Amino acid sequence: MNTRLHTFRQLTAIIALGFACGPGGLAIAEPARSPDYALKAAFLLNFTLFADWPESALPSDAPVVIGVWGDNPFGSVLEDLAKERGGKTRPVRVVPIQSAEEAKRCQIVYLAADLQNEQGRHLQELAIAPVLTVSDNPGFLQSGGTIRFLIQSNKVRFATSETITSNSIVRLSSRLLQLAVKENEP
Amino acid sequence: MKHHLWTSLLAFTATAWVWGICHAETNDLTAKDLAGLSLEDLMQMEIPTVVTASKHEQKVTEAPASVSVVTADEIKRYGYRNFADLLNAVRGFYVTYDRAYGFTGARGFNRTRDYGGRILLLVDGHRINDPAYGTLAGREDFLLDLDLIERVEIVRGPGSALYGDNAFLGVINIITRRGRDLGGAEVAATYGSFDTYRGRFSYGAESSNGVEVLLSGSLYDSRGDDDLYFPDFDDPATLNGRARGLDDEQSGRLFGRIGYRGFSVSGGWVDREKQIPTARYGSVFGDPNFVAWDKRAYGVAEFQHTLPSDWQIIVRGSYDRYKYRASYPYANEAGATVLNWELLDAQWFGGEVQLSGRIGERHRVTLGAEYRDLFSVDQTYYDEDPYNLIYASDPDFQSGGVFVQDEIRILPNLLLNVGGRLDDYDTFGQTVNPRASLVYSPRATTTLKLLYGEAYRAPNVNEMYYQEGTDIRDVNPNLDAEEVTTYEAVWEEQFAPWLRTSLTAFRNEVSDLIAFSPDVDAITSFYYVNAGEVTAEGTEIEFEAGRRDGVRGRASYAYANVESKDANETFDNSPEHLAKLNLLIPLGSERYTLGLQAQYVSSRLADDGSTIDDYWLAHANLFAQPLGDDLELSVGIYNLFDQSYEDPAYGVPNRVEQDGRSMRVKITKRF
Repeated sequence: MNTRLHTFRQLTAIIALGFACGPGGLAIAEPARSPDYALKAAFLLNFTLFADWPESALPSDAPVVIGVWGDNPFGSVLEDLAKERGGKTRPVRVVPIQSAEEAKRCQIVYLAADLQNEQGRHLQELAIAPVLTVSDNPGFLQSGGTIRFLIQSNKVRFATSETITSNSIVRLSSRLLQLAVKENEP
Repeated sequence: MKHHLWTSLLAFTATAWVWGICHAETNDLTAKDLAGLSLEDLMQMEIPTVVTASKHEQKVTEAPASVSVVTADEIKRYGYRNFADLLNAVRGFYVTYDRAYGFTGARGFNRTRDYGGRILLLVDGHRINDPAYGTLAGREDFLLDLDLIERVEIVRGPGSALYGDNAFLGVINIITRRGRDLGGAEVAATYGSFDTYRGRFSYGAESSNGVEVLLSGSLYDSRGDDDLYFPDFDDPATLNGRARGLDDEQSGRLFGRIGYRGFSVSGGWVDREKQIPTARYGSVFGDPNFVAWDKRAYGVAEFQHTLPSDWQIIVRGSYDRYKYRASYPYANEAGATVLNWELLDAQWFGGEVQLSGRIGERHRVTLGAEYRDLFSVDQTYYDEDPYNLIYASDPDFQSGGVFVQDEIRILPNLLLNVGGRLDDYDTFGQTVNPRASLVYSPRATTTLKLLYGEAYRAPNVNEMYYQEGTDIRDVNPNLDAEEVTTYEAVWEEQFAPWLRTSLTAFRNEVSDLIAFSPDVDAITSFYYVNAGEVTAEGTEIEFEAGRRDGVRGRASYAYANVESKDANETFDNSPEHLAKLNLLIPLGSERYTLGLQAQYVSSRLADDGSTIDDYWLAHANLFAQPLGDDLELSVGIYNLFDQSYEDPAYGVPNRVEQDGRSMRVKITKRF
């Protein structure tokens, strides 16, 4: 019995080693907090294609700046994605931010979970800025945020604020609004 | 000793590796891949979530338990034939087969004669364990065709704080496929060793006005192993222990669901007939008339609605029926064989209401109530010819429960989950079962869970009424519920994007264990009592890895040590070590995959204290979609190295030979 267990441990070690060291195995990047954040990073990049900022806020040759405010859950995935896209579409730059002043210089701001208590105040500070605000936090849309990620039927979904109108400063395309779901649907 | 097994497994690993080298560029799963995906694509990608742990959807990492999820894709690619196959590949679970029923155990608990009622089985949230035996019926008496399963959520640890009875060691919830998932007709045909045939027809669709329908039916027939050897009967008077042509099994199943918006009606039915070759309970060895029939049926009407305040309400009404019938050939004093019949017909209604929503930004509250009316348990026990009614009764039982749970986000990375449930039974009275957990994520890649919970298992009808060796029934109507207190710590770590690990340590303190104990007055007569305190301690470790080229798998090891306060008591069918390996290898693309499995079960005691040997099993399944998504082929070889092994069983014989190497071919076509 024990020899078999010993062999089992050896086998496990061999397999783990195999997975790690061989070609195609290792990905050298800082992982996202959980698999859904890798997906959400890709959603954020996609949002840049379905939003229009006023020319004054985003000159046509300027990159779209995505700011991550608070504890970054995306690891390096968001930056990696931005690099991968380069060339085909408008360039995207990812920056960490710490204040409303920095946030106002971004086109998209992701508000992290650790700022949930202050999100009402931060969103108020950004209320008239041409910034698309995104978060996972409960109560985000009610506090004046624009897009909130949800998980429904083991897939990532997003809900949008009901107050979005055609004269909002950042305009979202109808396709994006069609794909949005309601919060708390089964 | 079994060196060829290891050599072969290593060879498989090496082969997988060579494939990896050749195909390393074909399936890159990093940022490169995600960057090319549209919003619609992204919305189709699945992430690990679980509904069962807290009665609302949450990420597996935030669930207050150690969770495993098995998907429809894995069921196909590993070639699981029945639910027992699926559970045998899950960390820490083991299913024991006595050639009549499969009994599911975990964390050291699966005593013979226990019927596996310490794990709650749900189908789409509806309780399946019957109140007569509490069985998690997982072989051909299983209510569903495996092909109808979308995903299986396996939540370890005490679940009575939300679910009440049976959620003792864990809760398994099966989420079925929806009409829209089928989008047309599906036909499957299976042929396997032991003259085993299965055929299934399913239809599913969603109409433009939102009505969703799924209907499915299947038939199964197997001759079984027609030459089984039982050493206990190795005597010329009992056919030298050879049970020939006595392992026959047939089953039929129906399942349906119709839904419109928040309303749905669903139901299932299974009818199984199994010939029993073991001459159990002192019946005549070699007699083909030892047969058991099991019928299970249920219907559920459900309404789900989200209120304007974002609170969700679920209301459920259900009807269930479980019918058991068995014929035992006994030799009377004159030497003639008399057929003895045991019949049970249990019917119950259930009602359930559940509310779930947020209070403020920190609290997610779930509360509900459940009522069950077991309005008829018709039991009859008689000799056929000459007719002699031994026992008949038709009691009824009622029970109800209320529960509340609050999930409090103390910090963005710290979640406190507290809750409890009060149940009231007209048999043993009231039981209160609390649960509390802390889920803390100090780093992006780390989750720590500390869990405390209490759970119970109500005495089932069989335990209250059965007494072996006499005609007396209704022996123990005052049996109390057995109870468990669980302490558990879980560490989940994403060491790298391709490697996830989970380490669990638990301690279960069981009191009032319902056990089969000898009667002090008549040693030949046995009945159930609340006997014994038992402590189980264990650890479980699991590695889940996936390479960019699609090679993926998991390896787990579970240790459980059960100690009874009464040193004289044998705790049977409790293997200390369980090890599992699942490896899926794409052969060029996802259209062709090779699924490899290995499972180890360490030695365990039989009910008489003798040892049942440990064993290793390996299975391999080749899955192919040669002509697009609408045609699937699957060829599986089970017990690849033809290991000879036994499972423990109650009474004589207390060990039952299991299947040697066997194969199965399956074709699925969609229209």
